[in-house]
Amino acid sequence: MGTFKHILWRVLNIVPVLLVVSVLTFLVGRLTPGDPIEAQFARDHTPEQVEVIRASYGLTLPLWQQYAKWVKDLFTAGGGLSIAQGQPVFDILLPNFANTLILTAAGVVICAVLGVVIGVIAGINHRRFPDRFAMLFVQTGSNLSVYWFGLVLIWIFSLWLGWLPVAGMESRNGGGFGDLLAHLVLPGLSAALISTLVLARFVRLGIVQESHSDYVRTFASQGVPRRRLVGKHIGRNILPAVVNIIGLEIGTLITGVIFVESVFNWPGIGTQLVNAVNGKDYPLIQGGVILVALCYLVVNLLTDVTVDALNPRLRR
Amino acid sequence: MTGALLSVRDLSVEFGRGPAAERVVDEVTFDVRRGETFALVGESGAGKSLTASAILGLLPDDAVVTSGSISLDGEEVLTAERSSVTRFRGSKIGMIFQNPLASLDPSFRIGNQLKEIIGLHRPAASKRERHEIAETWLRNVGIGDAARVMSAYPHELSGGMRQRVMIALASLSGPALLIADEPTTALDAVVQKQILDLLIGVTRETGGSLLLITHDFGVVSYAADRVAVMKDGRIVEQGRRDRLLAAPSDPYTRALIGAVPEIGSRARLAGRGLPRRFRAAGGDGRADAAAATPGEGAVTGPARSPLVTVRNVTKEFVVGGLGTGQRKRRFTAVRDVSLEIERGEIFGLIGESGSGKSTLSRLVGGLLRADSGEIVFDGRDIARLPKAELRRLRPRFQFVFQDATSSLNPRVPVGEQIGRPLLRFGKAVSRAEGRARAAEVLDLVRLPASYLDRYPHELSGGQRQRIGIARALALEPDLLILDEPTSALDVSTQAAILDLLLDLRDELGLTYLFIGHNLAIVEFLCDRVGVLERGVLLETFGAGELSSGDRHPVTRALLDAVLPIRREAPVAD
Repeated sequence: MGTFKHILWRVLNIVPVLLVVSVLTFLVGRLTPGDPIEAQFARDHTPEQVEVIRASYGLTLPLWQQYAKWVKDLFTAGGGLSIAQGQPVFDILLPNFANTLILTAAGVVICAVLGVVIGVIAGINHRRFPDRFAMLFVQTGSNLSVYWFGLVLIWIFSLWLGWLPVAGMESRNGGGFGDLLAHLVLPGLSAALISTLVLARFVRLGIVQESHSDYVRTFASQGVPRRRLVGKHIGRNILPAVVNIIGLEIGTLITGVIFVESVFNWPGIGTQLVNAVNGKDYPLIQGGVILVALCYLVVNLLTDVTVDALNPRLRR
Repeated sequence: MTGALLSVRDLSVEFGRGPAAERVVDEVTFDVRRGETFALVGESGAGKSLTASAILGLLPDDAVVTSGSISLDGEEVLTAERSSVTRFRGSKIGMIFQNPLASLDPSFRIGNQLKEIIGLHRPAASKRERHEIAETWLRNVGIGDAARVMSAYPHELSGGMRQRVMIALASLSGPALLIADEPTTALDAVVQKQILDLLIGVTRETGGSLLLITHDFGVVSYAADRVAVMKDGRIVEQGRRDRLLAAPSDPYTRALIGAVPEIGSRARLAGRGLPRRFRAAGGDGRADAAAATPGEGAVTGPARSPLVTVRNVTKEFVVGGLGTGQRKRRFTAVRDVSLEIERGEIFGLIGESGSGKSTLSRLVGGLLRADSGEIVFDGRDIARLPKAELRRLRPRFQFVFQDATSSLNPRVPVGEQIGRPLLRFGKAVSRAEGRARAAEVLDLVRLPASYLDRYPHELSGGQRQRIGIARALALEPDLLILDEPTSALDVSTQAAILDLLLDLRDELGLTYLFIGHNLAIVEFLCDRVGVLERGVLLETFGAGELSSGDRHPVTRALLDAVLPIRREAPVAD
């Protein structure tokens, strides 16, 4: 019962945060210079007609009314009409946003698996060769640019070895789930690079620190083998921290993926948002930001709830 | 039943390698016989714990055994393959560590932790059998509601309960040797005695031997059959307990035992006309007697005007509430307490942990605000004083805390740490003046001015506590609130610090509020004593009446838990 109330409280907490985010995105769009209606329609319409169009988008109303109308549109009219494309914003964004989420998910899986593996190898070999090597790799990798890393991956695995597709989300004549996976590997790797290395560092540090803790000594003094000490006791004790880091990194990934999309020509939300910003397509920008923010908040919520559930101190 | 179970010969352990290596255990030789309790006693850094770790092959990564041998039951441990060392662990040797709060895995239920160990030593046992063995052992170590404890997490149990679980965990495989490394140091006096009784009982039942590592001669006197005294990695003296305690042959042992505060030493000193100082109190009282001037200890009686008056003070804490996922709970840490502290007096506060001693001291020192009641410091009620005025008053009451290390900023030289509050409170106008004043107070705590530029990590534990006292004194306070200032220190250091406190009180006319758990110290140091239990002040009395017959049962329970050093001629038992 306590837990349920606690989760409900957290969910309710999302509302004020979203409110603040919506106000900020709304204002950032309006308060920067440039006029989308001018840019879009001035060339082949008279100034009077442009004014009519402006009014039809509600852009002549006072700011607070524009905001209220937009919030209403979010719930009833698919986020309002895109100025450049004339369609409801969510109709334009959602299919591509799904693609972005697929790529993010692939990144998360790669980050979690590789990060934990590298971290464990380094941690249990603390100060020995595998640790030094892994840390050198982590140091170097952390300084790579996502663009460059993506291009190197394409060059090696697609152009040179020919193992994986160069870009896109599916082969020209379509293909099933396997085809999608093949297309996901390289962009997923590039997107997950930095997050993987961050996670690896934390896992390594967690193992090194916990290895010196009293309870590990207790179980070692009872003859529990090292493998089980790391796999069971240390693993269970650093799990909440690992979940926390992964949760934070998912946030980084959602935004980081947008760069990767342009390198791998991935049909995600990234390109759409860049175009929207260039064209000052307010409703589209705002809709995109709200979608990303919502994802971020949901991931945060899930992370917090999971971490709490993993902590026996908070269980009752 | 005689003969050595464990025999350690010329064991040396070094930190680091090559010429820079530091020898921390130096040719240590001793035997633990079957069925006996052998105590390894010494001050911090003597190498006791490292010796124990070496026996189990659990030395820290950078420590190396450079020579010697350890044999258990005739089998050499040091040359054994790694896998066979693991075989010794648990099955032949069980170990109990100092800090019961951290020694159990916080993420698993007690039952599962016990069952894991049982599974290791009895792979053939079925799930149900493992469960039964675990529950039986919890009952063996005196845990009544074993079923509840089985499904509890460590954080849900008290320190004493956790140490009981640790004893069950270490003993359930019936090891021939149980090593207990300061098993009661982190526990209350009352719990300490129970745990020692339990340890002795369990080893007697399993027919095993107990290697007890401790710094506390009270524990040695209570529990050990034979004793070895360690200093700087060497054993300076070993022998039967009664002989060693009654007639120590090594000067270090004599000094160490002499420094242990004991109930009644104040009266003994007074009877002999000696000043009330610890370092003259111990042993035969001869050590420092020549240096002290008799009569100095006869402190002028406290003037009859209270410096602090606490009237009906209550403090409540609220836990949980909106958004925490926990029900809102209140508990009263201090309940309707009234007391007076006279000028120039040393007022002692005693009670079990959690009884509200520290909360009360923080209320008196203005770190917490009372919910109701008043705390009058020199005519002003600090419980109601506006923030700015309270701030102006703050230099007049200063704290010295238990943990000298974490009370000092590790990255700032000590001179700065003493000087900064002076500037902040306007007691010094320039850094140079602050530094000069810092040098003065260092002199007061008997440290040379050259220490101004040292960092805390360059100092010993006792020196750090002196810095803590100097920092408090620099502001020229009227009241020093001392929250167990010596309980983290070795006995000889502790004696020196307590003597310093007595000297400073006389020199500067200070008033102390002293929180302690060691009744011998409280009796020796304090003028009056208050006993707290669950936030309620049960009684106050003159320190000399601590042992008198009409004390409250709680006070008597605290007194019963004191483990005195038996110096009398041994009675065969």
